[in-house]
Amino acid sequence: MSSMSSAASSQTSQRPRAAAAVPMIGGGQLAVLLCVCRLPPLLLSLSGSGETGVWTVFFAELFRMLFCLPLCLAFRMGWDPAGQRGAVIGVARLTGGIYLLVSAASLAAGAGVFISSTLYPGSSAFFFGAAILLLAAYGAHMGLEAAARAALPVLVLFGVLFLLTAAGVREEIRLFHLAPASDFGSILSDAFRRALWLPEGMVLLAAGPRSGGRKSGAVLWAFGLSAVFGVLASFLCGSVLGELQGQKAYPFFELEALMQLSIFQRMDAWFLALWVLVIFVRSLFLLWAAAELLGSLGRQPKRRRFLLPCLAAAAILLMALSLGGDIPGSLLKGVAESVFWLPVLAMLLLAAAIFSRKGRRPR
Amino acid sequence: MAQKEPLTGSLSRDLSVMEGLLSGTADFVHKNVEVGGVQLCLVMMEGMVNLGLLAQMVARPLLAADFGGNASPEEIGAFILNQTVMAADQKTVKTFDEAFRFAMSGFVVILIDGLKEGIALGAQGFSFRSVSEPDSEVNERGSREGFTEPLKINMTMVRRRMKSDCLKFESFQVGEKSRTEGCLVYMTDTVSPELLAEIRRRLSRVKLPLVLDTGYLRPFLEGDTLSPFSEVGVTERPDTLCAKIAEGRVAIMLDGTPYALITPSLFIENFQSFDDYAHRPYFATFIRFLKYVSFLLTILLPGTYVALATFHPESLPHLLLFNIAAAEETTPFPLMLEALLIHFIYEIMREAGLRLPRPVGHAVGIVGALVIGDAAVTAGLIGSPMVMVVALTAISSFVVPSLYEPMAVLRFTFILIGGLTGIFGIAIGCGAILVNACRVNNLGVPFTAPLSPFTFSAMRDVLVRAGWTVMQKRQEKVQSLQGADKALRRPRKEKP
Repeated sequence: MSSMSSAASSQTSQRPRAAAAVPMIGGGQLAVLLCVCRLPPLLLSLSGSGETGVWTVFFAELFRMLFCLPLCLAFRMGWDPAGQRGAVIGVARLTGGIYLLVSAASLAAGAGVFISSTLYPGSSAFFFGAAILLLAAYGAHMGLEAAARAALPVLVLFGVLFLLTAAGVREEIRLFHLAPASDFGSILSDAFRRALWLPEGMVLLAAGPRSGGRKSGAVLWAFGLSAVFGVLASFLCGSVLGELQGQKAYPFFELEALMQLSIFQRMDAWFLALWVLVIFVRSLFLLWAAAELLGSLGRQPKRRRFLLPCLAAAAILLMALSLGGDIPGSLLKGVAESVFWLPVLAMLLLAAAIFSRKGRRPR
Repeated sequence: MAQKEPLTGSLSRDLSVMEGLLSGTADFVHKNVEVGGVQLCLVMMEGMVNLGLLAQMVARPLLAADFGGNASPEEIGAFILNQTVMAADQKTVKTFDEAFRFAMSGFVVILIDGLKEGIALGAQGFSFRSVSEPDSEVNERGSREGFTEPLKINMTMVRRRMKSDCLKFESFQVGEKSRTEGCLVYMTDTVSPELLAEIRRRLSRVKLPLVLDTGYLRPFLEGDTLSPFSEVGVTERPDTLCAKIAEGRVAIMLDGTPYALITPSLFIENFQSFDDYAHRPYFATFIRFLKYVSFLLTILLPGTYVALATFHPESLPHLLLFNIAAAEETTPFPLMLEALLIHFIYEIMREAGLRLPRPVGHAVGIVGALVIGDAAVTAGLIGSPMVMVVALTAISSFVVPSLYEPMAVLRFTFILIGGLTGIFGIAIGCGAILVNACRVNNLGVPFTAPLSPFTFSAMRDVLVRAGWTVMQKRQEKVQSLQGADKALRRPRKEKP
């Protein structure tokens, strides 16, 4: 009996490691997670002006949704990247992890510049960005479940303040401020180019296997809701600020500063606090997903506890280079904004999905 | 150890062993009697036995019985067990350890010469505090009864309120030296077996020599998360305990303390009180929101005030800004230091008021009002707006007393963060605290449920307090909340 059991155990140890199958978050939590990840660009990189900006935001979200749906299809086909090994998926994980790291650094840099230029003039952007990254690493260490639970109240708070903003500037809306959109071709190409910058796809790659429910439904909800926020934000900025929108670095924040509704006025500091929360949550997910993808490359679980601090340090270094404005920083920025990342990554993922399906044993 | 050895059956030898083990302690009492030619000894601890009850239950029937002068020890034993007035507790004692344990719990232990087993009869008569209104959970309506120190009395209070055959008390003992009696309280038709098993496993980890309060057990029941919020609730009220166990929770009661633990506990339960269910729904809902706002005020108001006044004065209304500037113009300390100082003094006074004897306690209020309210402001040490902030913070903290510990610590933390980094630090600190609270997942139930993960059906008792006609439609259990595990998991560490 003992020899049989030891033989059985040795056979078990020689089998490839089984994929993690226990969902840690629900489909709704995944949707909230992805939606919160989409919010910071509303502040930091709201595109275009007039009707052009509105349509650009709309189509960009639509394209992002379409880019993520193949991943959802792969999950539905039974693809589980967590348990898969091989060169293809390894390269995909490596590039995805680095992509996320660069995204986190870029976000922290942008947030630092935003915070220092709006309410802390003369202060160091590096300090704010580093603080966000360090605490985001702490939050990522808490795990996906904790982060996904924390995302819901942030989203609710954002929604409430968004509605407050809309109500507070409703009297300033002038539809004639919205310059009509003329060239839909350039709108679509601009939207497509913007949509290629999609770290949420990598977050979905890392978080998808750990979530229950239908991923496609979560993706639809997340990008649909962020499209609603984006379109409304762009509409409000265009109709209130008009041509000034193009001259402002953070038009939506300018809108919030203009908001007046009864006792709710001059709430710049409060809106800053909200955006800091939103940026913190997105940074958290980016770092978590990067740790998840890069950590699965190694085979020594004991060393993975050092991974998050290392990733945070690397992100802080990248952010410092980016803020420094020197040659490495410019090069880094150019690489980060390059569009070749996503198609290459998408091809690798689809190839991995196809190989996984071919190699899967029939049930 | 000699204590673990069985009784020998020789009365003189057993007595000498017991006296030797107790080292001649002054409260050890034994009385020899002869019944039917058999030597008996009544062993007890002085002051713990009701002698009148003992005389009525045992002594009188024994001495009145006619055994004919040649009874056997077994006959005497059977007579005591079957013919005397039934005691509430009747146990068989086989070892010295059991004999001591029962004697020190107020039992009278009867040793019979020639019999290797003794008989322990419950005839407790020790003094204890009478049932009174709990000090820590005062309600406007509802019962005025609170738990008291003896475990048996607390058990009866629960049993009187929950006349269900599914209510179960499961005894256990903790403390290697104190050997404190405790019990798990749960409803067998509602509780999760996995939850029970996990609680038993965690209690088995307790290796303390002394367990004098349920607070000793709390760290063993909590998970491994470093969080300012506790996952284990405390109550002094039997009605609250009954309500909690009806939702699938398990309560832990301990002899010698009126505070019972309830696990798993949710964050939102700190804002619920028994009064909510006695008042009309609209008023109860209003009071709930009052508590939510008070919680946020007590944690964030001082730090936010310091942050705005120091870094973002443009956010304050003009008149308020002028008043603050005028007040702070004459004070020697920075606003952050002022806030830390005054809150520290407040905590000193609060602790002093708690520890002082009652006749002297009112002096704390007078000193506090004079020191903080008048002298400090007049002397120019602190500004009057800061006094208002402290007062509002202090009053708000008493609206949710069960969260006082984390609120006090977080308040100081946010004052420091706000004073050093402004509203940015406050925001990111809130984010970190939020994620930390969401991480807590004790016994498979998310601490932040049913807010996140969101359970819509549970909102009838969270965002609002729905009427009983709505509440009765469905009985919520902790296991049915979103995110709760049916099978318990150990404190989760993510695996790739």
